[in-house]
Amino acid sequence: MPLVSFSFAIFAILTVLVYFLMPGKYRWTVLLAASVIFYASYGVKYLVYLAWTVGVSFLGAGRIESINAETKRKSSEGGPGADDKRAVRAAGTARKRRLLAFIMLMSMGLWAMLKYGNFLIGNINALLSLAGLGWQAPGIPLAVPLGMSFYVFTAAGYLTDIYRGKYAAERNIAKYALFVGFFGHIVEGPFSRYDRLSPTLFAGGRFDYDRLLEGLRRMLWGVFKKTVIADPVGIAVSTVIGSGGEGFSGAAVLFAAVLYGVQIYADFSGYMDIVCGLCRVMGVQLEENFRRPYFSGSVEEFWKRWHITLGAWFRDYLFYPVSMGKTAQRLGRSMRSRFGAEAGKLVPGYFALIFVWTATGLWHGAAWRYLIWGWLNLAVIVCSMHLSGSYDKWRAALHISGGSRLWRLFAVVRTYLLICAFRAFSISPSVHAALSMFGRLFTSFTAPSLEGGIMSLFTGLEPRNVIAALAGTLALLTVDILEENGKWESVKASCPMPLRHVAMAALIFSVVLFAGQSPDLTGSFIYAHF
Amino acid sequence: MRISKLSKRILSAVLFAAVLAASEIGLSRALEPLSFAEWFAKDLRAIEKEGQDAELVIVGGSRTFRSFVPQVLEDGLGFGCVINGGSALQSLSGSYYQLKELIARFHPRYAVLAVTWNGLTYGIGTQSNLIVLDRLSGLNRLEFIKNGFTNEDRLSALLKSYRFRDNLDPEALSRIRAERKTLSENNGEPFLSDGDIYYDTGFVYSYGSIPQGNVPVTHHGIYDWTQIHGDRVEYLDKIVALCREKGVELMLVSAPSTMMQICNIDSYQLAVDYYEEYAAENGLIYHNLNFLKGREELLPDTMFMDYNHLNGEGAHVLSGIYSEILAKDMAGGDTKEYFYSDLSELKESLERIVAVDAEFIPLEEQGRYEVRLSSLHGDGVTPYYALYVKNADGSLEGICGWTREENIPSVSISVGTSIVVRAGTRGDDSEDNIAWQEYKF
Repeated sequence: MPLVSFSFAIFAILTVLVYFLMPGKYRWTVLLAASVIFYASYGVKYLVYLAWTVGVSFLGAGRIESINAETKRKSSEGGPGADDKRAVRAAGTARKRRLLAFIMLMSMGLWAMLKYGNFLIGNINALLSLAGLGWQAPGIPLAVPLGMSFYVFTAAGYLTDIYRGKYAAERNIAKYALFVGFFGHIVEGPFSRYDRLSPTLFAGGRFDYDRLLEGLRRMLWGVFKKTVIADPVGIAVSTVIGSGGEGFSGAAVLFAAVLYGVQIYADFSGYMDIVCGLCRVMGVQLEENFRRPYFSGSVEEFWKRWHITLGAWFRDYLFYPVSMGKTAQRLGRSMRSRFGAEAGKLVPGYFALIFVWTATGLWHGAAWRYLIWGWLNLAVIVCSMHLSGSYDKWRAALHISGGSRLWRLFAVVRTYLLICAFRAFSISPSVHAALSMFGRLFTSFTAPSLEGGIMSLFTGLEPRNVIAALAGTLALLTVDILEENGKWESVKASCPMPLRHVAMAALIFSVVLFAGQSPDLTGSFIYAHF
Repeated sequence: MRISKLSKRILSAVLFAAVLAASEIGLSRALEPLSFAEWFAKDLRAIEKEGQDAELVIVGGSRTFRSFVPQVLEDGLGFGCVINGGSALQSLSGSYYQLKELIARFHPRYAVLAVTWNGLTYGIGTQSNLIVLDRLSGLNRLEFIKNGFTNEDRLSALLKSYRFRDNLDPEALSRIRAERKTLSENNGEPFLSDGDIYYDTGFVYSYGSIPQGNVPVTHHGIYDWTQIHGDRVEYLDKIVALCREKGVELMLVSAPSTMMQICNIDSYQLAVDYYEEYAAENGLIYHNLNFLKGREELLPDTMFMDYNHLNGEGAHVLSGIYSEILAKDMAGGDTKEYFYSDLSELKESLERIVAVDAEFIPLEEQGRYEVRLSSLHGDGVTPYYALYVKNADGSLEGICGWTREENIPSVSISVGTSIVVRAGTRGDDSEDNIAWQEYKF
């Protein structure tokens, strides 16, 4: 069920009502039932995949924890010397590792097959054609269920934490199922960590009026961002970039790329506001996924502010294991001996980053353009890490203070344009289309007129919707600036009550008057497609 | 004075509700165009203020509010008050709730439901239900919001500012302002707009008129049993049950369309048979006013504003006849003599060409066309056709003389020319009742 729809509104109201009518210690069952209903609304058959992931990871986590306990017991038993204890721990670790690998294969393997199977087959078939062979491998006739890219990773993170002995495994499969399949994060994240989410998820928080208002305000802000900003802006984006820029000038392509940054931010953060707001009402604390990402001064900083939980997931479960693994360490030692200490320090990190950005690219989609997008991010991050010292020297030579506002503004705009440029690959229909669009920036950059040019990109929209989207974007920017400067809370607190009410009413009626095309005000959210 | 936290919250909630209500009222007022519903509501309030009940209420679609003049029916039936509760494209569910409202407020003895084939078969338009919604109040209104709208349309039903948001446009706002200004200058009295004027207790007087024989042929397809929706029939049953429960005598009627429309629809008799059978099963009276004897003289094409609706003059004529028929029905008399028994009998009596149609198919040679002619007419009539060029001074110059041929293989027509096609029963220009159409190239 779409998040911006009557059915979701009814679902949310009923869930909250039943939640608070239920005695505290059983409230989590309401969330479980609601999550099942929510996910089943996308297709009852998809529950099978979710149940598989939950079942496999729950049983696996229990077994891993048993091995942990057994290993600890054996190694602490009186008698054996240090070497024997080391051997017991090594044997336990090896068993755990094999089991973890097996469970990951069962859980993530299914997801990988559904998501990447046809990509792999497509590439094999391309090679077979190149080789002149007539035979083509058949494709897999199944699609990735909605949200699988999120809940499989949530379960994988949990399993890894249990493996590392970070916390005790959940003993109640129903609670575990709620953690993995919670409606608040199953469709577009955030990637939740069990130890951070479970306290509030299972606590059955008491009703709090201030929290209710806070949650509702946040939900309203999210609906506004989605319907008044993201959806109308998205029309211009898909008009230009959906066609690979064919028939459009370089300026139109640039404009659409810049707009896409607005669209995806308003869309994704709007979704987060809606789910976080709803969870807040019930006292459930989801992790934040955005921290004013477009105020980043570098691509590296951007990925610490955008889709924060995804970045953290890859950092904790891919980057650290790889960079601290034997291969990376061996590589580091080799680099140190040949190129010095600096190289020895950096190369293992670069090595791990290759894995991270390849995986990040592929996570977003099973196509070469996503891989290229990932690698472009990697290239810029590695270059800026490597050249950071040189940048400081050049700035000093040009008498530009790194802390000056002008430099910060330059860095922010530069980062935004770079991110928009990289995204051209992820949203174009193909790599060729993306390159062709870049080409237009140089070969046919003609500024379109306001009348026939820019407005014509918003096909089917009335001018009032476009003006409202622009005003909404300015409002979003203003709020972000105030938040970035730490002034937003004080502005809210000092605002008189009538004015706050007028502002809320303005948001509500902006949605009513300017929301996108669909009669129920909805378009689907972008990140749900990943 | 210290205000407790609870009081602050209550005050805040009340203030917020007030801001929301004010915003909705203000926005909907600014965006909502003038409609007949405003005067209709005013008339009903005036009737209620006088403490009056209505003897007869009529509900149905646009042919209802354009065809039945309350004043004429009051005079003809000797009633104190007749209310015309018709509205554009009113669905059977809309009629049910509208009737429920009128019965509750005005306790009529009689109710007339104007029925059409479309009412049983067409999808229910949100717009038509919204028009009815504006005329309802209280629990009846809430029930209609619940039952008469889909989830997607409920926002339109609950928020007028959402319904009229497309008017957030300089041109539309300017038009609305102009209408409100005219209303104010007219002291709140109805005024002519787009050829219509609100006239009397729900009736709208239309000034349009079709020249005799000039009704354009529409293409409305075939009536078929498979088209009937079960849920529409459900509301028909509910209307019958409502009237029985409230002790209101219900009658069914089909208001007149042009002869073109009656002759044009294949299996039109199916609709007639359906309602006659339904009425018989439920002990109701049903009249199809298209089958009125002498309708050719009483309701020629000039009494219609378009192919499907009477104009004000036609409505007055029809209401006079209908009040006579109703009076006889109410007295228990037999009114069969007023009507042809079926479509065949009507068409047998028809002695003219009702409408003519031409299709111009471009030929390979530039400026030349094949012309395919067709017409709607009485059963015993043979059509003759003729083609003319219309000169700038309005005179006609013949390019193809009277012929029975329905296919003219090649005619030269240049851009900017107006072609007039005529059809008659005699094959010459002496006939009065020629059907004709003009085509501009």
